[in-house]
This record gives sequence, structure tokens and C-alpha cells, in this order.
Amino acid sequence: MEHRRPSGLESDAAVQQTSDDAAVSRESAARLGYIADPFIKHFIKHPQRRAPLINRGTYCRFHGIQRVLREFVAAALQPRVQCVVLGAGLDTSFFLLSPNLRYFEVDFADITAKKAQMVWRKGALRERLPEDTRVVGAELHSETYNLIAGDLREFPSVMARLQERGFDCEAPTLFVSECVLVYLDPVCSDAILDWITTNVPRAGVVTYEQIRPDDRFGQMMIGNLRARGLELRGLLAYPTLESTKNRFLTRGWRVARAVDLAEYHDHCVDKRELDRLAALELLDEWEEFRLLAQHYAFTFAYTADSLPFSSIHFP
Amino acid sequence: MGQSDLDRQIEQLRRCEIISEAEVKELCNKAREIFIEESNVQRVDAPVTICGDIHGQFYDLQELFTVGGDCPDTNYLFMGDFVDRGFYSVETFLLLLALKVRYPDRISLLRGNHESRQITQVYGFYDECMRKYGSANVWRNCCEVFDYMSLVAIIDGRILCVHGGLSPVVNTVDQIRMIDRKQEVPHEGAMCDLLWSDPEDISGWGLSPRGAGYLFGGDVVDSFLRTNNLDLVARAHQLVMEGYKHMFDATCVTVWSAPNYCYRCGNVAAILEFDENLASNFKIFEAAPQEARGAPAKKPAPDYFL
Repeated sequence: MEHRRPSGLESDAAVQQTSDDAAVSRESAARLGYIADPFIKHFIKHPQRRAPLINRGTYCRFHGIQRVLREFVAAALQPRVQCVVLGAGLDTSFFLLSPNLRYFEVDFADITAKKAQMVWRKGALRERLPEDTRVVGAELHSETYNLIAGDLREFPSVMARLQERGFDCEAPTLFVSECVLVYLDPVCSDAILDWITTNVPRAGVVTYEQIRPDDRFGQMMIGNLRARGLELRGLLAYPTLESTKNRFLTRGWRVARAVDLAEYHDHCVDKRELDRLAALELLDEWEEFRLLAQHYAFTFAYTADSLPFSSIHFP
Repeated sequence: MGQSDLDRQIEQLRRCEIISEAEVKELCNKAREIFIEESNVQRVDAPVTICGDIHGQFYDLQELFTVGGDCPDTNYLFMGDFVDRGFYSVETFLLLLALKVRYPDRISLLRGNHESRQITQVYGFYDECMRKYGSANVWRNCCEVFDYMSLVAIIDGRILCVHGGLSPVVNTVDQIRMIDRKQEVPHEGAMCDLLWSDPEDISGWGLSPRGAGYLFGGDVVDSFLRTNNLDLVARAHQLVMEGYKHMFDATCVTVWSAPNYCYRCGNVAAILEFDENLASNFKIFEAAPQEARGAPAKKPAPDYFL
């Protein structure tokens, strides 16, 4: 497919809109009973019912990321562990987990401003915030939870802002990134991983991103997203499960595991859960679900083979 | 409704323009009168070109007619799933229905599992009718037609054509003739299985991940073909990237006629031609180029996980 490559500014706007799109999908899955997320509806103005295959994929995505987060939180007995969600968008994980740890969310200022306002105005969300939370411009600040505005392409300055808010490079830190790094030029996303490798000795990363650009579905995905102004800049640099793992291993990280969403659906989701999902909606699009799911993958990696990361069984 | 009215409606629908609600109602009534006379098991004579799922991809249906020849110059047998998923289920189904009313002996339409009230409310046809007509009347009229469509067809007594596949409660073609088909697609039983089942590399029968119908193996096909003195089961229902797929030593073939399914999958489509001696020939085609979709056509924006 021939499409004009979007320019920098429209491309930023298109990437920012993906946070709404992801939230609409999550709300659809929550409303239909796929996932338990009572908070996402507060972020949605115009709910939509997504197709069953999207709902099921959203379930798997939610299931995987939540599992890593929960196991990390459960294993994090030391008081000073931290979680950083890169490109957090309208993610509700903080409200779902109420984690007793330092929790940072980072996104473009337009998004954090909107999120801060929504959270502040909705009682159901605001009551989940630490008591000392206050709105500071486009951000939310507290001792433990911070929503920080920043551009991930300038990662050192983003991390400097986090450090002002209490980020501690010496504490074990889980970085979460869902469909974020892939939109960055690989030079930028590599710089993020390099910074983490250099500065955070005990780091873990979990990502959920597109893979397999080379087959016909992948080519169509690239073309269709380009038509919406979304350029998957990192996809060609890291096109396979192997290459996403090696991205970490070549930086000296001890463990890197990757699984595509189709495998995850078949082998990592409990059979009873799959039966439960089957009863929610007839899924008459198996071949298509399989294709779509083969083009997304979780990667989980950590630098040092020690707690809390070593106790996380994922995938 | 005179023939000239019908011809005008066909021309209009061929341009991907909808016809009026009153015209839809009359067209559906005419179509139902034709379907009601047809048996559960349609007799079809070769030569005929058989087609799989279309799913509202109107411009790709036009491409199909370009590749396969126009109706009525070519005889067609469509194996269901005309609606849902694509943007033009209304125009697609009504065009095929109008062609059926105009040339009843030249085109056969079998029911697919999406020709159902329940499924169309989840997968798009209902919403499309509401959007294009502002009421559910057209959807309701179409659903009443669905209830009368044939379940299977047999070409020259040799080839069984069906949307999904076989059923563990159907051993003979005569048992298909006994089904009371004039109803919504049930959740289980013979009629459901014919519209929902899939062939799979297993022996015997298996549970379907779709939650309806069954998986059936090559031994099941073999025994069904022997019992009924048939050569081939031709079916649709499953996306295949190459447009068609043989299974079980070519005793079962899947034909898929929606190229770049859902504007997302990147697959090619196929139709299967049988000449008067039942020699077969696949024709492969790709999605209609964007230019062919005309000015009012929306840019397709299929969903991904973003």
C-alpha cells in the first residue's frame, strides 16, 4: 500500500490518539465482562463495542501485563521498589493494583493533563490516589504515585524529572511499555534501554508490541496504520521474537523471554478462563484472531537474576 | 414490481447505492417466494462457479464478477456469509438478492452462519442497516429472507456445497432434506452444524473452538462421500490466505472469496469454476484497488491493538 509518510507533528498527534483507542478497547472488554476493570469507564466519553476478536486480544494483553505487575508487586517485599509505566496513556493499572510502592506514569503533557483532570474530577478514581496527591500543572504528584509529563525521545530529561519526584536508580524497577517503544525511532528506543542498562542496575522491562512486519498481514498492518498517521518505526529493527529478546541480551541483561499473543492465548491462559470467554461472545473469527495475535508479542526481560524479578513466572 | 423496476434496482445496487426501504421490502418478499420453493438441498447443474464468504466487501464482489464473468453470463453458487464485517453488507446482500429474483436459475444463494439475527447484531449488519436506513426494518426484512435460504447444494449429483461442513447427526443427504430450515439458525443440531463446522486434521469428530458446530476429520468426509455417492465437499467459512485449500486428499475444499478480509488480513481470494464435465479451475483475485471504491467510499480503518 502506498501512503504518504506522516510528518513529525501530525504523527505525534496520531500516536497520542492511540491512548484513547486503547482505552476504548479496554472499556469494551470490561463492559462485556472479559476483564475486571471498574475504572476504565471513567476515562471514556464515547464507548464502542469492539469486535469479539479485539475483545479477546484485549483480554490477553490485559491478562499478561497485569500478571507481571501483580507478581512484581507481590514479590516486592523491599520497601523501595518502583514501577515506571512508559507512555502510560489512560492505563488504569495503578487504580486496579493500589500498589504499595513508588509508581510513575509518563506520557506526553497533553495526555497527562487530560488524565490528571479526569482522575481529579472522578470520585471513584480520586479516592484511589494517595492522600497527599496534588495536581501540579499537567501532572499529579504524591510521595508514591506520580504522573509525569515528558517526551520519551528525550529520555534522560524525563528520568531527571522522575528523580526529582523520588525515582531511585538503586531500587529494583519494573518498566512497563505497551505499544509505545515501537512508535519511536529505534535510535530513541535503544537509547531508552541503554539509559536503563547504564543507570538502573536492577531493572526489569515488560513490553507488548507489534511484531512480524514481513508477511502479508504485517505489510497490511503497516499500511493501514500509516494511513492513520501511525508509523511503526521500531518494527523493522525488531521484527521477530528472537530479535526482541536479543535486544536485551546483547545489552548484557540476564534473562529475556518473548511470546506472541497467539501462543500466550493458547498456552498461558487457563482453560477455564477460555471457556468463560467463549460464553461471553461467540468468536466466529478464529483464523483472523490467530493472524492478528501472531503480530503482537510480550517481551519480559531483566538485568539481574535476583528478586523480585526472578520470582516472576512470565510468560 | 416490474422487470424494468428490478433492472433499475440492480443497476443502482451495482453502483453501490442503496434502494428505498419500500423497494427492499418488496424485493425480500419476491426473494422469499423463490426460496420457499427451493429444497433444503438445492440441485445445481454444471457449469457453475462457486464462491465463499463475501462479508459485505462490495467492491471486492464487483472484482469477483469481473474475474468470474457477470451474472447471468456465468452461473453462480454462493455459499453464504454475504453480510457482516465489511462496510457494504446492505448493498452486497441486496444486489445478490436482486440478481436471484431476476435470474433465479442462474444464481444460487446458500445460508451461512452470519445469515442470522443473533450474529448480525454482533458483527455489523444490524448496525449498518440502522445507519443507512435509520430503522431496523431492512434488517428485519433481510433476516426473514435468511430463514428461507437453502442449506446445501449438490452439483450434478457429485459435489456437496455447504457453508460450514458436516454434522455428526447427518449421515445422508436425505437427512438434510428432513430438516425444518425455516427458522433462526439454532445453537445446536444438524442445521447449526452444517453452517458452523470446520474440517480439521483429526480422526472423527472434535469440539469446535467457535462454540458452535464441530470439527470433522478426513475419515468423516470419506464415509459421508461413500454413503451418499459423492466426490467432494466444497465449503467456505474459514479464511485461507491463498483463497482456497484442499484437505483430505482433495475430498474437501475450502473456498474463500473475501480478499484482504476485513481490510486487514492481506489474503487473496478465490472462486472455483466447474465446467460441464465438472473439471475444476480456481480463479484467484485480489482486493479491488482503492480507486475502484469511488469517492464516497470511506478509508477503511480496521481495528488493531494500539
